[in-house]
Amino acid sequence: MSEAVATDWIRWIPALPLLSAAIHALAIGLLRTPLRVAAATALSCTALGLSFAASFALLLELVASTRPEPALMDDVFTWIGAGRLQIEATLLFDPLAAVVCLLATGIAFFVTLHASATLPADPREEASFQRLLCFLDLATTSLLLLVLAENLAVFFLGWQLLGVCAHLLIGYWYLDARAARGATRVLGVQLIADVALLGTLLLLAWASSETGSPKLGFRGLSASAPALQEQTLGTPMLWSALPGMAALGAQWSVSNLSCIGFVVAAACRAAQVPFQFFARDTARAPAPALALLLTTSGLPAALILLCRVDPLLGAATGVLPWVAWMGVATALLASLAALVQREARRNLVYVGLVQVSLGFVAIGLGAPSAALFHLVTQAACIAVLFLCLATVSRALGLAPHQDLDPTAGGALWRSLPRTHAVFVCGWAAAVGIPFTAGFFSRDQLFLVMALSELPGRAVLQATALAAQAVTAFSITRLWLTLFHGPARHADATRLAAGEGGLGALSPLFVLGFLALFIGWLGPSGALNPFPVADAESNSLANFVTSVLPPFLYDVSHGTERRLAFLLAGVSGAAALLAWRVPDLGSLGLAERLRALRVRLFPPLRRAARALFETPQLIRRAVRPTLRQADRVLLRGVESRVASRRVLTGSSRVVGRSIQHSLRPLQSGQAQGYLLLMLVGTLALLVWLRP
Amino acid sequence: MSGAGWLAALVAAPATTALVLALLLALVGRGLESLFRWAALGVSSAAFAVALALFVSFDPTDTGFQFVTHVPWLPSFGANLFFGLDGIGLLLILLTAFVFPLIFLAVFRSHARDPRYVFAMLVLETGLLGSFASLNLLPLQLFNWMAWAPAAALIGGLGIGPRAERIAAANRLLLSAFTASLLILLATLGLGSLHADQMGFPSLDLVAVPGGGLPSLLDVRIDVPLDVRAGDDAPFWQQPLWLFVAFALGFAIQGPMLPLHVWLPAADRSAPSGVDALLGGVLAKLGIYGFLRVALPLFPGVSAEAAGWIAGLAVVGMLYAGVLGLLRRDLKGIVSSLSIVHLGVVMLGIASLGLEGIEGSVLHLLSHGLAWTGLFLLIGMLAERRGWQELSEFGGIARPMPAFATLLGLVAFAAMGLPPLSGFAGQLLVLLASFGPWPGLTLLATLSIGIGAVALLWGTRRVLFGPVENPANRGLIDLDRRERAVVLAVLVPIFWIGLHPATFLQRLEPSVGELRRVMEQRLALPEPEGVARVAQTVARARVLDDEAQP
Repeated sequence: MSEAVATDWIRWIPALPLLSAAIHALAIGLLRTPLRVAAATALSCTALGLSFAASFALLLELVASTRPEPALMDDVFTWIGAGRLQIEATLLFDPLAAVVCLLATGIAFFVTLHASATLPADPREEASFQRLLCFLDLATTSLLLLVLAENLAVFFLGWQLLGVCAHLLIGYWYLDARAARGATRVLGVQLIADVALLGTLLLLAWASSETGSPKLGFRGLSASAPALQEQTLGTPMLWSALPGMAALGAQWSVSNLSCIGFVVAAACRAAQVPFQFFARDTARAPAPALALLLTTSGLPAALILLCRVDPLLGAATGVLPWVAWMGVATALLASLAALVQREARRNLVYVGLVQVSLGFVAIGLGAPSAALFHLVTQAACIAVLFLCLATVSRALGLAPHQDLDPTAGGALWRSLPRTHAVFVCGWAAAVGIPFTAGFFSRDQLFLVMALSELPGRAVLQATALAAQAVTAFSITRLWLTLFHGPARHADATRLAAGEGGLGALSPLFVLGFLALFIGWLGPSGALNPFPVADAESNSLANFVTSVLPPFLYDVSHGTERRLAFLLAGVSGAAALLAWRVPDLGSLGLAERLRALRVRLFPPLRRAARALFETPQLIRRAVRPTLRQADRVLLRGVESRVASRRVLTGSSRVVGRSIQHSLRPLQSGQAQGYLLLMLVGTLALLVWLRP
Repeated sequence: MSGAGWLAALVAAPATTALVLALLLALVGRGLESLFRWAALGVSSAAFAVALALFVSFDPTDTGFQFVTHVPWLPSFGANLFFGLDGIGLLLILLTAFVFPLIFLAVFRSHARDPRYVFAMLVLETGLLGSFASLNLLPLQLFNWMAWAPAAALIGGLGIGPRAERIAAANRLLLSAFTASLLILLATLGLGSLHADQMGFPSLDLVAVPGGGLPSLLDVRIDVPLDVRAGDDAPFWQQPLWLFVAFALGFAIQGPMLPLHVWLPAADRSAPSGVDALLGGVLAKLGIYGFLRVALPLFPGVSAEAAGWIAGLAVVGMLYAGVLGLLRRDLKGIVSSLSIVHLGVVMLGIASLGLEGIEGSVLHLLSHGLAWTGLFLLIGMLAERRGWQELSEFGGIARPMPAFATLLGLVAFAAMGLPPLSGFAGQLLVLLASFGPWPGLTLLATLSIGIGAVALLWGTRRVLFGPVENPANRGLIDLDRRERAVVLAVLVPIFWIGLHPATFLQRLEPSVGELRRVMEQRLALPEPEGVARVAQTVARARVLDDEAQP
């Protein structure tokens, strides 16, 4: 492992959005003089733009480096130092951080710009545009801190802050009871993730302290992974105390245990099975916040965690297959949930969840670089789709918090042509139309699945393919229902003006462009029309190879191309099915399909509700337990035993034993007690006099 | 005036002011309300300024006690007015001195108008400052009583709720404090007699006076490993186990540790604004400070053997309090339960007996004091507008009171231990230190912290968010400048500790290191050498006695 080059510039990447968030908070919280929309937007955009520029400048420095493991490091200060434990607030700018910083600041910039055109007219009384900007900036800062963290403690700081930001963004419309409940639920689940991550941090610190001072740095993980696999932990005290547990109590590998902790934390954060239920709550956030939470600063943070600890995951035994199966199960469930949604934003939330889950599959199969590539391509695509929905909502005269029923649209391509064009770009990337961004990254993912040696690989691959096809179907149906078909809205003239000015359109154009072409950052050699010399792996994977091991495979270009186009064909067929369903009447299938839908959708919707609204499940399990605990603890132990018997009883004994002599003073009057205290003190002094 | 003089003045000033004000009131009669509240604010602010000056002038490289004053008081009992500060005492003094002016400012237009409130609070301040500065067991006890008695008087006399309920709460507090004091006093007498037996004269000094003073309790061979039991033929009140048990039980009641915590919820519920902040923020720390100052250095062997039990009890208490927090129906109850969870974190760190664990514990004590002061003051501010209500009476408060909501959110996040706020650093150090000896317990403790956080989160959500269904909540007035200034003042150190805990850890490390050195030294002291040392000190003491006689 080569030494990183020291620099003082990395700190500015998270500091600038943080400064912007602080100014927003000061203006609305303390000074109570909110800035004008233009000024507030300018402030956030300037901070994010400068942060992007700083990331880009450091990226150039990184690219120019000739070291085998290029990285820059910024030692800001010693954060916590006690005894042997020294936690440095150190930021690390390596290729992984560079990619994510550019992506996060870039997307946040355009999301902020677009929000300034669609959100300030929010009629809800609790809405405050500057508060939203403050939360968005804080969420970006958290992600930047998380990805730039050199050690697990700083990572945890960003991780927890990100959870808080998700809570704040989802609860933005806090007077809405559903949003308030959803925000609390999300933070509750995030706390499980935090506890899991903190537990893992403790374990790793303890394990490393056995041979010296505790080490929490990411850079040493690959070197220490084999030692951690060798190191074992006895069964915890409480476990071994339980009958029969001692027999089970094999020594647990530290590496395996910490990987389980990381996976649980990531699963909680990314709404993976069995924590999928809060995905529905996420949809309560405003559209710009969703664009951020689903692409960079929310669910995908889990992928970054798993990428960071990849050396450990690779060394652990038996953990990665679980990650793959968890990812594919979530992808399938989320795609089915997307299919039965009646609200457009919620539909997209599930589509976004499918993409994140496919990233989990890639990591589970040992190809984190493919997961990162998919994260990059899908970020632009999902973000642009959410922003398009925000424009459509505004054009239809809906308030930002109101549900957007796709069937309320129709024929919008006429009145919102530019938005429609951009939506098509996003749609193409989401479906995986050849040579758009999603096509290249999905090719990587499915190639990884095809080549894996995981038992049950065929089932995994078929399930992922089914999830992808269902997603393609549902997103195509959303596009067609919203923009095509007969118009189901009133005023076409007003709609034409609803696309907004440059502020609303320019982010859409840029993100739409990225959705189409960002995949060209790294097509594999087989799919690259302009092949370069060392393009067996994609160029993005080559760039991050010092952090994430490249996925090496030995497949002919022809086979890879066939697989890629087969995948595109399946997605395309699903999309075509959604498009041509009305025309199937001539084949006599329309009625059958309608009958199938009538029969299939209601139970599917109920199932989706049951799975993605687990509160029912939780309520059934937790509420009676809490009620029982209430009866035993509060009323039984606390009130009856502790208060009445112990204290009141002893109080009576004391009262009787002193023959009511002090009772007149127990009047509750301060004077009485003061007099008692004074007399007692004087008596004591007299008694103790030398 | 020297630093030592300033420390003595700091301790004495509030109670002296209270006495002068009481005399004035007796002479003049009514009409001094304004003078009382301004004097209280003035003297407590001045005390904070002095504490801050002591903090700044404290030499972080010195492992011993600084600003030392030693005045013989009752030599026949070994009681001396012995004040001094190491890093641990310094931080607790700073916390105490910081909290009082904020409380007076927070209740400036309500309770501070009542002379009884001001009088009792000033006495209480001296009690707390004296407890943290005293290095002799008897004055320490007296100062403890100067803290407990006014607190009980305030709860009984000026508390919230029906009279019978608040008097019951005050009685409960007094009874608990009395039991704790009795146990500690008995153990103190046992220690004193042991010192007298070995040295030929009694002394209750916890450390020797810097620069070669008389032997202190640290020079007495009190503690031996239980399996050696060298002192089995001694009466039981001189045996280390029973002395430790008496101290530990007393401190655990004051702590408050499960199952001896019963005084805290009722006292918190009935305490008037400001006093609840003190109960949760500072007063409950007297017991924990006792563990650090008395139990660990004097009984290192028994402490080491009891550490597992203390840790287990602390974690069980944390889990219990966390679940109780989920069941509470009022915000004050939730905050009070969560307080027990975090005091459990502190005890877990102390039980680890490691440098990082004890440093983390003291840092967490500081953070806990700040966060809980902030929480209780904010709850009090809401109660001034809306009365003491259950959670179901609230909802959507964030709309009429946005500043209140923002500040409550920030302080609640600090209480939960979210980084980069104050609760994180100490908590992390404690958990890291306790993970080695007790991985399972530490994970349970982490889980309990999570449960407590969920309870607080649920409570704040019920108060702040959701639709404003109750018309009484619609017209609430947001915090004014004074109230915002109070909470912002609490937030400054909350952020400071979170972002740069080194400021405080630097001052703690030498003192905690010295504490550990003393413990190790006393544990490792072989019997013959120990006896020889005792003999030397006895001889030295006799020479001094002879010189002192005319």
